[in-house]
Amino acid sequence: MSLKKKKQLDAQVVEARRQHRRKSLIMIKRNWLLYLVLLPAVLYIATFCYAPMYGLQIAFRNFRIADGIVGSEWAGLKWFNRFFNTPRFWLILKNTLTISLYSLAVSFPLPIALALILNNVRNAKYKKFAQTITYMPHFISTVVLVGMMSVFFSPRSGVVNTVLGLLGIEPIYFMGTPEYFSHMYAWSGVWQTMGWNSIIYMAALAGVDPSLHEAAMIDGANKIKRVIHIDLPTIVPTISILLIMNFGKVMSVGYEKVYLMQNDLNASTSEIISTYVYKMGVLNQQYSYSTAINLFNNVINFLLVVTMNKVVKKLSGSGLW
Amino acid sequence: MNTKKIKHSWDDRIFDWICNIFLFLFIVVVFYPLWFVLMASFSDPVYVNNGSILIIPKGFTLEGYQMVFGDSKVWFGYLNTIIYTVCGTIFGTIVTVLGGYVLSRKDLVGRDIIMKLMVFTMYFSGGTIPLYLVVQKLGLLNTRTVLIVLGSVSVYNLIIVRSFMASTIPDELHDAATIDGCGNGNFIVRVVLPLSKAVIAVMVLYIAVAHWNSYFNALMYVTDSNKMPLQLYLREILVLSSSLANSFDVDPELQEKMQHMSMIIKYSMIVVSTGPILCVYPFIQKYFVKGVMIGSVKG
Amino acid sequence: MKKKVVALMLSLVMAASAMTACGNDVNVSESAESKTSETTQSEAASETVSEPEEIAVDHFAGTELNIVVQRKTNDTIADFNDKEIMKLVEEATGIHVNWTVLDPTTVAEKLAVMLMSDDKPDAYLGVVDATTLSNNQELFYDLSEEGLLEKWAPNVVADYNRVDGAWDTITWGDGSIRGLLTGSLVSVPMDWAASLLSINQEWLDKIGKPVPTTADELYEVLVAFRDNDMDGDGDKNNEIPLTFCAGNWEGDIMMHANAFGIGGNYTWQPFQAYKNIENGKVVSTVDTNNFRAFLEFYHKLAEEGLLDLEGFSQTADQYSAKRTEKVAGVFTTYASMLDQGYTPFVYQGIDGVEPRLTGLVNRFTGQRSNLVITAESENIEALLHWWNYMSSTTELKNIAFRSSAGFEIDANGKVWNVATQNQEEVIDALGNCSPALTAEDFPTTKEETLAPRALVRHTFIVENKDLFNQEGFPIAYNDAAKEEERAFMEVELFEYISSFIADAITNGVTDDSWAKHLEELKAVQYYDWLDWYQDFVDDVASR
Repeated sequence: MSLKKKKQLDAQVVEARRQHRRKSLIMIKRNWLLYLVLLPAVLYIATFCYAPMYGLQIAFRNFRIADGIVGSEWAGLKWFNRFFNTPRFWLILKNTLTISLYSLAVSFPLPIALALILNNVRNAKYKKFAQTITYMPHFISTVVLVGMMSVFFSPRSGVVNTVLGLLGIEPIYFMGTPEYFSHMYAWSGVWQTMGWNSIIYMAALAGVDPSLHEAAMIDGANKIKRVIHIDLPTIVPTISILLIMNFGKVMSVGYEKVYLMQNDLNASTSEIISTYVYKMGVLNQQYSYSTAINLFNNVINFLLVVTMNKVVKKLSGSGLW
Repeated sequence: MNTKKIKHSWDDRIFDWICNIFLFLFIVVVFYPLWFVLMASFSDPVYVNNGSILIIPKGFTLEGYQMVFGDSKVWFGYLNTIIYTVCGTIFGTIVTVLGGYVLSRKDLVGRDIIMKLMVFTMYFSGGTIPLYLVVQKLGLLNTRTVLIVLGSVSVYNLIIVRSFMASTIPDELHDAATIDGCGNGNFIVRVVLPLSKAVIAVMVLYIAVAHWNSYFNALMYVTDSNKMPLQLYLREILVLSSSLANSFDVDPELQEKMQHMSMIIKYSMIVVSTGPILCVYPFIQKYFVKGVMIGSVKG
Repeated sequence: MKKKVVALMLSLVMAASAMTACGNDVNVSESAESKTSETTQSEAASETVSEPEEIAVDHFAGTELNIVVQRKTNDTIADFNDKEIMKLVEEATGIHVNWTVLDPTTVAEKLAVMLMSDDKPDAYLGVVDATTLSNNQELFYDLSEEGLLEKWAPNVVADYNRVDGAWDTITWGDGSIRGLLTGSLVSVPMDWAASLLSINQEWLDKIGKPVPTTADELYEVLVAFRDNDMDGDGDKNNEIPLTFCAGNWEGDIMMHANAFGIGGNYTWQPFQAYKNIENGKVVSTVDTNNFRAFLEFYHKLAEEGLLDLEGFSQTADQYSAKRTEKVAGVFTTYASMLDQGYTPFVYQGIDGVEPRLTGLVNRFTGQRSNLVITAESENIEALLHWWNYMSSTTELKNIAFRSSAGFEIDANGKVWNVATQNQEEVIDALGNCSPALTAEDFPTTKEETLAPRALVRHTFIVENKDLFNQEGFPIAYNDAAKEEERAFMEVELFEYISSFIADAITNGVTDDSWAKHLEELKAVQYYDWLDWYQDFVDDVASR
């Protein structure tokens, strides 16, 4: 009896699967155009992302140019061990996380706030002007940005200390104080990216149906309420997606700006993984070592993204997949 | 009813005020350094670096601009950059927007696995050397094509488009269209694209700016100086003059000259190189107007 | 070591500018104007090429060579075949070169991928650095093959034979030779000097004091600079008594340690002063009492507002602005401002300890791996022949090095440097990628053609020749594994020492912090690093 039932069940499962497959096939056939349209993107990624992927193995090899990627001898986990055993491993890991989480905490929500505010500006010209100005810093190159910071924050002649001086505050050596490093890094980042990052939210806000606002107004909802109950929910999917993707960058703070802002006084807080990789890998041509460290970073990044994706999907309903 | 209305407008007015003050402060903070860049580009670098430029240029000079524009390579670079940006943006936007839409379709068989495979590449890549070898195998070394194609498609942008489309183009819309006998092709052209102006505008901006600012691909894959984009050339001036100013194998005169050049050229270079791309934004902005897609959703 | 982003090996010897060649005879001859004619050139050629089996100059006519070359930093000539020397060489030998020109900023990135790809050029000129060469020796042709150089490059062999140490620098431990020397200065007796300490002469005159010669005198002068309105703008507080710049080799704080008897061999990397060599023994510097005295003195200056602490973070541009603006009393510089009211000087930091200058006297220089030939190349002989032709006369070598606009040869065959205000003439040439110049080939600088600031520098260096290091670390190839070992030690080590210096100058040194420093040095492998160098020195000596 039970055996029969089981057989029956099995048959049902098989049938269901077959049907599912058939349905899938029908769907694929019906949507052939979609696949065709997606093809360029897939081809691009296959060619330029997956084809070179074999290069990852140099993290596990003693890579020499002369031997090539596939020909270099295996090194096992040598480079990973080496990295974990560097005397300052924990320090640079801590610095990396401090800098990147702090930056994320300030530079992620502010563009959202800016977009919501801009969205509420009634004067169209002022709105356009504000948008254009705030997005411009994105185009300032890092070298010049750091150069300007050094000039503005100079304890001797910088405009910031001049203003502080007017308020009766002694000059502060911003660039040379380890405690200030993460603030300087994060807030200059806010300055540079806030306007640019708000663009995507502005676009999302364009999708708000004005009739919702009209209806809410008739119901007597004030602006704050409308922002919270109409505008914000519209951009939640965008916020979720970007939040997930930003978590995927936690370990990979770009080296350039940190490197330029580093000096002998702030080394205790400014040395991070990427600057270490730069010094070790690029300047000393340790390809395997730098690949291994980057791989380590990205495994963590990837795990963070997978986790965040689950969490955010549960909370907001939208995720990467 | 009446009192309620007044109370509400009070709320709104306070809210407006807070918004405006915040916005004003932010604009000032953002504007000042930008103004500084502009002023610095007309000033003697000594004053730029000793902090004596506050509002107006000091030691007025056009030397930086003369240096930048006096070089024929800058003009060539401009032309190349425009070519790469325009072609790359057209290519990249088409691929990204269409791809993003397709990925947003819930009835796409295999969507999850494709997404996962794509996201994977955001974190794991083979590095520059194998990519170079791939480009070489494709015969794209030293061609303009490689500069147009590479960097035009990114998973990041695909995901943004996908999430946009998923929330702005409801499934019902597609179902309704299917019942009306509208095929996928028609649906994309008649419904999806007109509804997605805002996100298309964002993609145009993202891809155009990325192309405009990119130099690394040119650095890796192109040796022909006639094909160099502006940014690579400008970076070269900047890196070189500063590293030369820092290096030892030159005679003091040349060293001094290069140091001076690097100081003076930095700011004018930013102005020159970002001017045109800044003009793109206003054109993009008009697609961010509220209610771009009214009617259609309900229709 | 920050921001000096030049990815060069420390052992890669960089050529100094012509004006530092002060070890040379600097007698100025009036007859130096005359220039050799075409006939002298061919005469000289036939003179040198006097090997028994003579190979016709156009023996390889019609051959095409593919060479990857690095463009000189200020070179605007896009096609190398347009260069004066290349026209001459192609005309004489009939060998045509297809150049792939790399920009200096991209060389590092491109080299690795080029070396890995399938179609390789015949040779790389000025592109392959010592690290890459050492890691991938077999990619490059071994030129030590019996009779190869003798047959196809006799002029090159003759030049190397004339120069003491030339063969040693290019020969690997196993006897192979993978690269040929190029560059301006092969064993030209010359002095290397880094930044010079210089003082504002106008300010000194105002306070009526002579150039300080001891730490105490310097201290007094700096105090006077601080307390008076030196620049006469009505503000007593905007003068900077002493400034430096950790972000720029010219202004690095280690240059100031010279006064305390600590001076490196090499000039533009401050960490070179973390060790020294005396009679073949590697000695430590940053654990000595002299070093401590240096830190203490500079801490005292910092505490009393005499030292510009912004030096640790300021950019090279800000440093330069302070010099140009003349708000600084004392700073270190290569040569800038030396003709504009600043005087170079040396002072003695500690009684009984002679100050040093960073730099080295009579140093063998030259670029070791600058011409390397790909192992698979089918045109090795043609390439050597082509190179040999360029090396055949003093005149050709100099045309290659600095173009005919940059030098003159007088009736006695002596070569004079006539490039004066800047090096623009040299653009039409290969610069440091030219075949190696020996002492006889190398142009002597005429003092009267030196730019004013260069002359001040030159004079100062000649006068203080004795203060430079007389002994240097050997220049030789080392095993790749050994080099890797060193690279791994250095990142942490240098970072520690430079932060310690910054901390000690800002916050002072106590007996406790000094003891901790000595402990820390062990932890960051300072002594292992010194041992590494000792091994290297011994190893080279035993070859």
